[in-house]
Amino acid sequence: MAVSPESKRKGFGGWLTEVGRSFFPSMGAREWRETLRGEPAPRPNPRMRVHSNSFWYHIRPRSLSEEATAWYYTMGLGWMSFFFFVLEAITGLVLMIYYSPSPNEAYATMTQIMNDVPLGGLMRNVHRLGAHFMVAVVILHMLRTYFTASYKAPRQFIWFTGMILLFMTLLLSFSGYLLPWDQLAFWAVTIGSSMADAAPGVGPAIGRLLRGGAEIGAGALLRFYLLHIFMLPMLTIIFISIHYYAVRKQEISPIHELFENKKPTKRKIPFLPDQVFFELAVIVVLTFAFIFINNFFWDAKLENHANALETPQHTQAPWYFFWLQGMLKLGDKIVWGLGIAGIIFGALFLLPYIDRNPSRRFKDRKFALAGGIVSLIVFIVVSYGGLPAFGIQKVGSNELAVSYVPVEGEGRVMEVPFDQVPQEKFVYKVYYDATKDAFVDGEFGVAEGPLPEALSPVFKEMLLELKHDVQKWAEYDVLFVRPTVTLTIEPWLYQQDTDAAGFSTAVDGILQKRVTLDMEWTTAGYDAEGNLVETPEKSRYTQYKFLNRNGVVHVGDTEPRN
Amino acid sequence: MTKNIAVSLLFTLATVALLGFIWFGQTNDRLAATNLRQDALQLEFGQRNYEQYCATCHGLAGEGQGPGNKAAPKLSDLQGRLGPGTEAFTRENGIQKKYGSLRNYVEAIIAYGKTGTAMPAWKLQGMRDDQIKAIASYVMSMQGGAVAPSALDSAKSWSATTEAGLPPTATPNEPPLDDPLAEAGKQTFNTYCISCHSKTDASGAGPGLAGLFGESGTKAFGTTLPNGNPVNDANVLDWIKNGGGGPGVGPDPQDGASYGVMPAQGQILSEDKILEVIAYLKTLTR
Repeated sequence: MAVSPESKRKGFGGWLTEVGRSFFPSMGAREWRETLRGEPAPRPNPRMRVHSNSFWYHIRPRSLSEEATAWYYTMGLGWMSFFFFVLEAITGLVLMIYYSPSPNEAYATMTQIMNDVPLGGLMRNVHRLGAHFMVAVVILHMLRTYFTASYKAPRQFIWFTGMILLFMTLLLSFSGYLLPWDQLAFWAVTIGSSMADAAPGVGPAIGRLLRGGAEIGAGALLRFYLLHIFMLPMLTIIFISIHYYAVRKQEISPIHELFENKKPTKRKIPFLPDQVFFELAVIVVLTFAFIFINNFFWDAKLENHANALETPQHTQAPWYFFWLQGMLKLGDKIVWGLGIAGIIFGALFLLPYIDRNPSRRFKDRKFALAGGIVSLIVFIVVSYGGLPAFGIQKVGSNELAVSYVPVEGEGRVMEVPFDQVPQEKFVYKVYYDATKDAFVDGEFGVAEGPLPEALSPVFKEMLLELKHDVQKWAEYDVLFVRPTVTLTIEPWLYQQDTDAAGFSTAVDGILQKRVTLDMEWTTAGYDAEGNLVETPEKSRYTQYKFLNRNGVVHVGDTEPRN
Repeated sequence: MTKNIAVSLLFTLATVALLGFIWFGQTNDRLAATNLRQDALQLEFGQRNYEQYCATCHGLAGEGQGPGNKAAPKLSDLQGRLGPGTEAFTRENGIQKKYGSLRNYVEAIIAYGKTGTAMPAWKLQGMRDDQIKAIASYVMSMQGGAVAPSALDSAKSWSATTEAGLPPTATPNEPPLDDPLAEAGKQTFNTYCISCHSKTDASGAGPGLAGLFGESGTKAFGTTLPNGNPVNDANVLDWIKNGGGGPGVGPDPQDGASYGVMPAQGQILSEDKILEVIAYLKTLTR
């Protein structure tokens, strides 16, 4: 490193100066002040020395062509991807302090992070949402590169490393899925790893290597943890460095090549200070926005503890694998899940060599642009078809239970605010009246008739929706005949713990509601002799309605105490 | 550039202010709300676990099997019997001294059992800490007047729910049985009975059931049930349905094991289910 004269101080001060210089090399306080004030650079320019003396600045260019930095061109998507990677790394490190990758403890440490660690819930929210955003931004970055033909010679290699980074991003996000060890984690990864099993020949071996056994268990958790925190981030850092270096070498593709009659600009903007402060502004604004969104508008859900014996109703892969899920519904697992998906990824990797058209002009790329737009639409449609709502046979009673009182999540009943739910026990009944050949509803005991005036409109609306859904499923599901559905809402009290000394905090309890959905119906089937047999069936689902952000109701209070 | 610097500075300050707001102004509310949510979830989870592991002996509403050391005690009045202010709580080496609080005591008993009684050490049987904590929460919620008003209702409803869709509990190491009746019985056995009865000679809270319908009978009681009746379908059905004790219950001279009272399952299992279990018991050989 070139050492400038004034840094030859001795002792701790000298060391400190050296350390400072390694981050901001070759620039003293005066030079920084001039830079920040926007004064013209003196000759020789000390801001250029920074790039030759520091690794961090060395991987960035000294100056960028002005047209390449236009916001509407790159939209800063590459920088944002990198920002999200760093954000994930930082929040991930914080989470790592508390997390323990063993099936017995993982879930407990998750609840600890969410409840007991100061700002732990926020860290987890940022990490989870950041992962989704990172995938989205990387995909957008790739789309931008495709549509502006930036992958063409001489930048094929940049595209290639970018594809590897897309792959890494998907793997990073997916490997993190298992770590909370809740139902979502367990079943999403079960689906994912069974996709690996489907590959002919090596498939089962890969699946086994990934899971460390036949089933997802302690081995799988440890392997996914190591992949998530060590192996994949390491590879990603290496490929980000290569990607950045390649971009610095080949420079960002110029915008004038896209149009026929646009003159190239020779003007350049210096990296220091213009570009640096632009990038700084981007990350500062993004950080703020992210903390804001995560604190006020979004919560990463933690479902129940993973349970291999209890398959949730609608198991689904993460959103960026919906397209794969959708393709698996189209036909054979091996042909669609591996063959076609493999061809798509292979084609993307080799895109610069498949698309031999040397011109970057929009005018000359009509076929490529149209193909891109069509592929994008197909991708969205197939993803939409991959949602669990499509192409899967449904059971009326299950669907009603899942949408009104699910084991996981809120459900339609819980969406009604706590204070809008009747205070006293309330029983609502929908049943089929044979004399009228229609469904009737009403308050149980009062039977059919208009609902009480005192009910809140939100609650009433939910009841009407329930009636509508019962009718719908009775029509749609041929095995859900003449259902009688009863929804009971009753107060249910939970007394708080005794305190540390063992003294009961007695009457200060939490008022809760218990919600019960009873269903009785008839199912039809044929017995061994081929006679139509109708069997009565019934089932009951219970859920406890609890307060979340509406405030705590204490015993004796009539109004929520906020 | 000046604009960028200004934006950066502004948003840095805003971020710091936001974090400060979250830390000082909002954290407690949010933590309280999350805790409340988690508490309620834990209670639901605890109820499910209680019904699976504990209700067979302690009853669906914690009503217990009646007085006596061998019987599973009533749980809905723990606060009154062992809570703060009672002799058991405050005496020298009492609950307060040893465990700090009644809740800790409940957790400890669930985890490590109680020597001299049929209460198994669930932790050693593979129950996780979060399950134990959740069950303790549910047991604590039974205390005082604050009991769920219709815990018994919910308990009854639960068997209706599970009958509609009992989760498949066959362990992967056990190949399915040919007889569908016995196979169904196996799943019921694995859910309800295995917490006390093993499928071998080994005894837990109850005797091992290997060879029950065989020529020489079980290791612990031979060819009769503990109440002296011979082993046959009708007697076993009655035994499972109504439970009971008898001369055979208590410390067993043969293997030194001591068994608790067989709790009545009639309220929890329908007769069809019990008949399935009997079909399964016939497949257990020594």
